[in-house]
Amino acid sequence: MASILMQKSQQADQYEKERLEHTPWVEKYRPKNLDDVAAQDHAVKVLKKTIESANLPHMLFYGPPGTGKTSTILALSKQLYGPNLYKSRVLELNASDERGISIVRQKIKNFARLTVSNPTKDDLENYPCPPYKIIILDEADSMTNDAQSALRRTIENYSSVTRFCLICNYITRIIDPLASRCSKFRFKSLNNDNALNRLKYIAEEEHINLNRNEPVLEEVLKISGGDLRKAITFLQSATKLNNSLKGAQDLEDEDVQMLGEEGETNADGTITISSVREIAGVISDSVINEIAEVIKAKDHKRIITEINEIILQGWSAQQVLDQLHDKFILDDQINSLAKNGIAKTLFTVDKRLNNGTDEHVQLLDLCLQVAKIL
Amino acid sequence: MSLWVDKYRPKNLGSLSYHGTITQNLQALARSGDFPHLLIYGPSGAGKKTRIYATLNEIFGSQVEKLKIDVKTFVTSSNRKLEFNVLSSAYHLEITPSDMGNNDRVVIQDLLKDIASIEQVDFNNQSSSKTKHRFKVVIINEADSLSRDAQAALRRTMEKYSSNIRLILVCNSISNIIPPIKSRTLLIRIPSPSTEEISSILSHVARKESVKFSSTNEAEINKFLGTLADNSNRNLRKALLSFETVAMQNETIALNNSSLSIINLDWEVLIRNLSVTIRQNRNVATLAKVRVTMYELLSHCIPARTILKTLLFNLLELFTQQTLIEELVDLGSVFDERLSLGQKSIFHLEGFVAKAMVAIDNALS
Amino acid sequence: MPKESKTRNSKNILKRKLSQPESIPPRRKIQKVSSPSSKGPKVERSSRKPSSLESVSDPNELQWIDKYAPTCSSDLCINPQKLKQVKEVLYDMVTGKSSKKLLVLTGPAGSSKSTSIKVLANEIIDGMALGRRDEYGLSGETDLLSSGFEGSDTANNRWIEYIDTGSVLGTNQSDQFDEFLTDVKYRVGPNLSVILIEELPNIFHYDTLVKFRNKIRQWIYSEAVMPPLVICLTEVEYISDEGTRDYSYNIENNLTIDTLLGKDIVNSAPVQSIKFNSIANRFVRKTIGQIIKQERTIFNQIPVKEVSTFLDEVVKIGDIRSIIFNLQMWATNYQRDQTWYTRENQINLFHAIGKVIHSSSDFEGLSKDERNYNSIEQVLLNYTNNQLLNLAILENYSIYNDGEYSISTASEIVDGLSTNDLLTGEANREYGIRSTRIQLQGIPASHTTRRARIKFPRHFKMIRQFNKTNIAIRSYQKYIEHSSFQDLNLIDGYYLPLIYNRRLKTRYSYNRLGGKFTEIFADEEAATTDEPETGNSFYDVDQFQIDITDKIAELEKGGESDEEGELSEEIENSDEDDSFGDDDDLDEGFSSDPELDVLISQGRV
Repeated sequence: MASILMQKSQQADQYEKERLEHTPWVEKYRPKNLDDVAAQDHAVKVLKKTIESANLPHMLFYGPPGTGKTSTILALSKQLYGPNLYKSRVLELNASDERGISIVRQKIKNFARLTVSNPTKDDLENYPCPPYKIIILDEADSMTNDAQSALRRTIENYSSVTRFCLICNYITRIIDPLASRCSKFRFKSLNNDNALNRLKYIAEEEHINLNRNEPVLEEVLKISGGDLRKAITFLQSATKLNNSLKGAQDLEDEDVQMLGEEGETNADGTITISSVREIAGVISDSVINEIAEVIKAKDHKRIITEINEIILQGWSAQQVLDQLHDKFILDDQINSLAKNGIAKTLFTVDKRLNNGTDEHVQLLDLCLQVAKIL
Repeated sequence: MSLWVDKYRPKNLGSLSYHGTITQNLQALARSGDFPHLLIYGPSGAGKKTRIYATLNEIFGSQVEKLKIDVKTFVTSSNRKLEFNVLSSAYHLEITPSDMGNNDRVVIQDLLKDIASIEQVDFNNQSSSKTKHRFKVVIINEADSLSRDAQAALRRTMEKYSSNIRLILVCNSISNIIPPIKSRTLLIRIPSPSTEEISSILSHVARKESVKFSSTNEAEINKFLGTLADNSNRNLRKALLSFETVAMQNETIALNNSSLSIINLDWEVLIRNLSVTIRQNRNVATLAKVRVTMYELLSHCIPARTILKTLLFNLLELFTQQTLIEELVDLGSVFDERLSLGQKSIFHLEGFVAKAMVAIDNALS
Repeated sequence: MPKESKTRNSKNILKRKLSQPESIPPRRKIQKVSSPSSKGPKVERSSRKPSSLESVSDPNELQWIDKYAPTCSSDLCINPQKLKQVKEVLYDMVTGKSSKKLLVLTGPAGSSKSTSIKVLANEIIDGMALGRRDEYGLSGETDLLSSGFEGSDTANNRWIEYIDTGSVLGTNQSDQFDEFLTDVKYRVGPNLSVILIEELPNIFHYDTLVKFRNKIRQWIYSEAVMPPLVICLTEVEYISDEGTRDYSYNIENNLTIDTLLGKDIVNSAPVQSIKFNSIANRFVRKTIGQIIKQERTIFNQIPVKEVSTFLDEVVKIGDIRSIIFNLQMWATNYQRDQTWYTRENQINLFHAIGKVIHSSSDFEGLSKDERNYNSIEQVLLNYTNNQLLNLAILENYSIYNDGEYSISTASEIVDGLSTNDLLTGEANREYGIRSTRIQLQGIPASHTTRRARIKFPRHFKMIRQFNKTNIAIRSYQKYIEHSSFQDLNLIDGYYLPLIYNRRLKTRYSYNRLGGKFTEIFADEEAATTDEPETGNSFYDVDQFQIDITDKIAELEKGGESDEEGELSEEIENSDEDDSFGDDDDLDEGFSSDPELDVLISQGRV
């Protein structure tokens, strides 16, 4: 009997362990309190004041993805209520999850109506425990205008017992009447140092085996364009793949020899710049340089062949476009007039790609047009 | 008597013949018995599905190849019945969202929820047995055709059911995949095999099937197989099928390429002829004739985008003037976009042809 | 004579009365049910007893459409040829000479479909009754003139029409239709009637449609003697506004005989279909002439010239019911110098195309710009199906000046139409046709005669073919090879026949998957329905199709044999071989011996 129970509990442990393994690091390393939030000094300072007074306005957080908006409000809530009350006082809603405003409204209604357990003495001592609940609406800019207007009424109706926190990337997509009811907090793009420190911290915690000869973490940050969430996710994917590769090598070595000769990248079992790039779908600089050269040579037949090869390699046109953009716009040898034209072409093709057009045709057009301008 | 393309399809990772690094990665994932959600992308005929099935084979054993097809019905909010096929084995299932039209979000959400809840129960039941696999694999084909809505929903689902569902998204390009999905999956790019890789596979098949060539000169045979590979635009499936076709039509394959005319696809020939017609007769009457072929192609479910693209590249081969090439490609990309934005593709196909004729006129005069 | 018809048609009068305020008489009639207690299907047997509506049937208040409703087949406004055809078919059905159980009449609104049936039903059955008395016709049955029919009451109609009361009474429509057909099944022998279905249950609801088809199937395959069943279907086709990806061609946007009944019923032996066209002007004029003669008190007050001008315009409608309505409205409300708009949709597609391509002759003498502007205004005002119009313009712009104008002008026209396709709302109505007109006006017309005829867009033909291919490939994909649709269509579809026909010795050869490539040409008339597909059924003898059928049978048996080599040898129906001759264009590659053997074995060579 006892052994079965033991086994059961072991399995439960194992399950828990596996679950943890699957927890995205983004969740695992979310800042626990406002001080941990990377690089949003201004917002954090203001919010800290509100904790002291325990008087929270409705809030609107906006800024690029991965800059800590959700993390901030979550940390703030935790600091306001403590772990015990948190569940009953904070509601996280995702606009893109349940789009219908009626569903959103129903959920808000139910939540607002829910009687709250009184804070324990312990909680009261450690946390401000203000007498309202917090409703977090993530991705609020994906709500339709109608839904937003409807939300406005809802906010008013429940303002005595709730505080809303809207989170979005583009403040312009929030209708004015709604925006004007909230205190707005702008979240800037992270500066590299702060973000890098965070990545370093995670790398240490997770014992990631980085290649010491290359600035891998810097590269991770670069390809994620200042989006810390993306950066952490890339890091996690790379680690996962790397760990299984290592595990495989430890297990059986003889099988590997059957594989092709290209297997040199991960040979030493560390995460390298190129492995991170592959995981992020980023094209290597040599390929991009080659494209740029062919374009500059202005030989149309060669351009056609080159683009054909790129497509056969499976690269996404969007990615090529993004990287060509960086390449040409930062190229000092191109005069600003030409850059102007190139930017315009990039814009047009980008727009077309967004309309779900054919990648091959569009990429070829891009390259030929740029060649014409240069 | 299965087709060569099926007969010589590698069943496990060990027998895959190219993209060693990718195979290595997949092998590593398979060994660990588990993997994150995957996003596998690359051109068609590069071997995406072959690699997926080989990986699953490695994890679950050959049971994954015992496929059955189920027709699921889904009632939409407007009370219409929607039927779509689900291909499944004991360990995985495979869906194609384009079967679901505009309802892909709801359908996929429902389906995954179902699977997740069933798997949860299963897991509880078997907790005393030592099964290693607590998850079911869901392959989503043509993931780039998923609506944004469906993709956004998928992103939540991925997190919610991460303990008992592994998604494998398959698509030709990741341009249309929203960033949150990209960042929640392990990206695996499968490039097309090179011409050499295809010819070596073809020559392997030729040996096994004792295909006879008009000459025994290795170099000549390889050159022939290379032509075949190039002709397939490095699509392995196409290369193998066309090779089998040539082999079936000829007792002994003549290496002077005379036996190759048959491998050109019927619809591609139609389009090639169109391009020649366009070069030769640029007038209103030709436009009316072109329309006949356009409708013919459309009626045979050839996607308008494929027609436009193929025609464009055929035209490009006919001309050398740089400015003309620039202009044709630009026209192609403009009308390509119109195909996306508009409703009836015939307007835009004919629009492209008409404008191309004018461009050619201007360039030649 | 027309006056006598009033009682027998009093029910109709009611329907028409109710629909009078509308400019176009609606097909869906709201049927008042005389006894509110009775629910369910109304088996209408008009004027068995004096109708309660008798009081309102003062001839002067009658709608002309009812007042002059034809009572005998010679009065019908219809091409005599067509009438003869219908009469023969119906006669054979009534007398039991033919095995046909269902007659489907299709055609545009107001082409005398149901009226013909009603008149013919009375004539034929009454004629039979008389004949019976003279010892002709069927024998061994109870006297027709006994109990059921009191005397030779010619006012008794020999047809029963299905009236959909579901919308009024809230009963389930599909059940109601079911009950109706069950009830009328026994209208044979002395009660013999023609069963007429003009109104349909709500077939846009999928389940109802399925039930509807099943019921029809039961009917046509029934062993018992059934009364003749006639469906009059006004076909509706319009182009959906869905995106390019959705080539939907279904009952929701296209009500045709095919989408209503499905191919299997339409092509089955007990079903006969006859297509009606719009009534030709001369027949319309004959009927109208009769009415004018009868109503001379009214028409005498109107100058003859005005009448004839109006007639010229009004007959263009082509819908006899609508024409008579318009005529009555115009004549009874006539005021001097008043311009009269017939009805909104007064010009048909071909007129609209003509006005866009050649500009309207109504504005001769005005400046070019004014002519263009007014021509297009006229089209916008009087023609509404702009989706169809734009496709038609694309189909026809090249006939202007016999196509002899510069390619750059043509490219501007197509570009305009292409741009138009991206627009929405009002702009989408105007842009394409305006730019076409403006481009074409710049061309000096050297050919005064119009040699090329205007054609109907082949969009629908394409979609039909598209659906066929789609279904063929999808079923192959489902049952045989689970590859991606486009792989199967673009690659496998071409190679597989070339491989299999060499390798496998099957009874029939494999053809291009999804059907061969067929050139699609435009027709000169709006082909609302396919003539029963003759040469096109290449699938009947295709080995792919047989493989699929086998696989389905195998699945149904629950057999698990995965052996691909097991291909069926036998096929029951070998008279389908005739349609084989037409796919030689794809057989080019394999004209050597093994193929020839197969051909010989199939009796094709």
